[in-house]
Amino acid sequence: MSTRLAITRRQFVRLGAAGAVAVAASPVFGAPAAGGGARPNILVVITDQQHAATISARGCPHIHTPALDRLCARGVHFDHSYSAYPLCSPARSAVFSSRMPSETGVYRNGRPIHPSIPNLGQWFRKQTDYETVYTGKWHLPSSFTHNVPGFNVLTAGVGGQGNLGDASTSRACEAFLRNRTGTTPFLLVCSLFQPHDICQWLRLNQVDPGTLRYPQLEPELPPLPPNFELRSPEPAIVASRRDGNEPGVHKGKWSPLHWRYYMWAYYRHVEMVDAEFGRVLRALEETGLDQETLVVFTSDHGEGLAHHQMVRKNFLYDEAARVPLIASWPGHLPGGTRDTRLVSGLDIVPTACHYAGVAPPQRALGTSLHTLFEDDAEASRPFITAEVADNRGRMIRTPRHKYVAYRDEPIEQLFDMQADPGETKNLARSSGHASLLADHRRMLREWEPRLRPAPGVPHAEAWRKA
Amino acid sequence: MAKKSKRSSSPVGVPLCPVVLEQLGGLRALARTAETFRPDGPWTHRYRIWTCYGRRSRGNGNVGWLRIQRTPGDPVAVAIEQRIRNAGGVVSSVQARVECRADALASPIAWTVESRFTDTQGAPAPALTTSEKARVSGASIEASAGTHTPTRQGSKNLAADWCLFDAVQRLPFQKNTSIAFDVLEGLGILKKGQRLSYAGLAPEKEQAGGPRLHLFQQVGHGAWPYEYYVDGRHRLQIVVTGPRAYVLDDAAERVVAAASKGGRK
Repeated sequence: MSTRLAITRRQFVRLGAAGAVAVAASPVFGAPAAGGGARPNILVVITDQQHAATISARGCPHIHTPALDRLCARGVHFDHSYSAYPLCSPARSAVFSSRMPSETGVYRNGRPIHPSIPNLGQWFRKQTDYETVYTGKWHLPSSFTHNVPGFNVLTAGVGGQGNLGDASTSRACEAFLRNRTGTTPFLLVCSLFQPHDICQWLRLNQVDPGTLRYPQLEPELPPLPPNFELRSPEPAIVASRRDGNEPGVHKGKWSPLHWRYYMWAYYRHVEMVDAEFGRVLRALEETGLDQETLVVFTSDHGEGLAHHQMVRKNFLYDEAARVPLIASWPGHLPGGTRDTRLVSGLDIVPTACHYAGVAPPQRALGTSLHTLFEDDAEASRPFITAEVADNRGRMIRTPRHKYVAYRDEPIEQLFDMQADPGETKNLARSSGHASLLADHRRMLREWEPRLRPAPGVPHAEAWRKA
Repeated sequence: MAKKSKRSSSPVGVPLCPVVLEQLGGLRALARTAETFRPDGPWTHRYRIWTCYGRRSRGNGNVGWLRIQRTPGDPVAVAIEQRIRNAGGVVSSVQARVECRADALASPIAWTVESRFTDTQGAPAPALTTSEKARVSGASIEASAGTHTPTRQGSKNLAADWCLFDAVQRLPFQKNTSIAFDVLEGLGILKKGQRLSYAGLAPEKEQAGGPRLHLFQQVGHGAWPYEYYVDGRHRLQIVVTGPRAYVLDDAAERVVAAASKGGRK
């Protein structure tokens, strides 16, 4: 059930940030002012390691995702949503704080968000009367824990096993929704671990047996992606990632058939998480809460999925850096629409804050998605950024191009994402693109001073001085 | 010591199968099957649910158990209980009673299913309990959870994952037998396009010690392939699906409880 704010959502949008601050500063948060706008419940669903192009309704022919298809039909699907850092803990720190991982201090897995930075649950508990509930993986620093600051944790899932843990997570979410008696709105995080189990699959199928274990599958194996072959000059750290992500996978040890079997298996992992999300979505729909709930679905990072002969994550090619992002609130957000503008995992906290009627935390870097839903022409931003590799790497993504640089690496990367979405032609060394390259370097130089790196984050000072 | 550590964290490299389960400690010995065992008779099977993190040692172990009790009749009655240990001491359990046809798929006709949790202190968490009654009607499922009775998409050829543990025991060891169906996972989630076929005797190099096992394989949407290892008396000994194995073990509940108390995974 949602409660009512005495200010319509549209009025609220018009008030903008100043209005948001005013509401947040109200002595009784969420107190009615005038009008009748609703504060929705907020359901944030975050999957783990989901490639952006894994939704059947969005044209992926190798997969069957009825729940995500349904959410797309009733919401806005963002084609160009990027992880702030394509690795679990750092990405999650950005999603739940709207700060870059170099600021949260989570520049690698298993580190906590710096205590000076509130996470979404802590902020909501301080600023709103929302009930804040968490289920599933956290990973800041512990992966599966009941110690998630700012949230009441129902279940943390089963350590390292999305195949079992996600059923617990989705059943707990289902129960929370079906049995709900509270009168204040809720912020529920459903953090599902699949398709991350592809990591187990990779370890259990590292040896290419030379034949298919299930020969009947051969006709339905996906083809290798067009950017499977390695062509573009890469920074050495990217090439080492290729080998280091799963030693033995690359190095020519896998046949095309085994690569395709891996792709087939990955799609099944995504179908598993779609099914568990479907259980939660069905509970929302059957209780009628869907009409009162803003659903935001995303993933922490993507998956190599054989593109560039990569598996897993922790690099900045789109397969790892781009993630699904869908937002739905029937009757309030446009249904069945696609948005190609750039958005980021950083945007989730400001979006949740906007709809809850409070200002985002100070120094939040994201932009509330409502500015896009309202079709604000100024909402499009010139670029978004990502970090990677223990803070060694940076990405600047503009609507047209992607620029990637690493500390102590002579090779930069520059891609025309419209002409070459597979990132196969590195333009950084082309004399014809020197000016474009300089523009992107400048954008990065201008971006870095906006950050307030946490103490002890490697390379932070070097980036600032670059 | 260093050498041992390296070995323990090294990837398994190959899919789980009986001999790999044996190497990794997931299987001690195949359960003995009495001569009197009849797959279409009354029986109770207990399975340890053992999971593998993909490495030789790290992160592998029993995370729960599954008990399936079959009572013959028309319809066949199947009672199911599954308990899974979640992080922090939370336990999630599912109890179900299913009326099935005595057909090749043990097709579900009607069922009740209840999901429960205990909290980190081991106390029941009633706010997290859900229950549902459902009945198959043609190609639809009429399910009621609380006050809601929506009709959901079903299938004309419907199976339930837990009931397939019964069904595969009654299938003939006959190659070129393939059954197409949709499966209801956990009696709640429909997964389409499944195909179950007999693959012959399990490859010799994948056999654990004990009698030679027969292998049924299932592939389809929304799940890893399932491999059902059935002994010569048609008793389902092991099910492998991705990094998860169900291992027939009369002491499953006790073994898992002991592991929980010991803090082992």
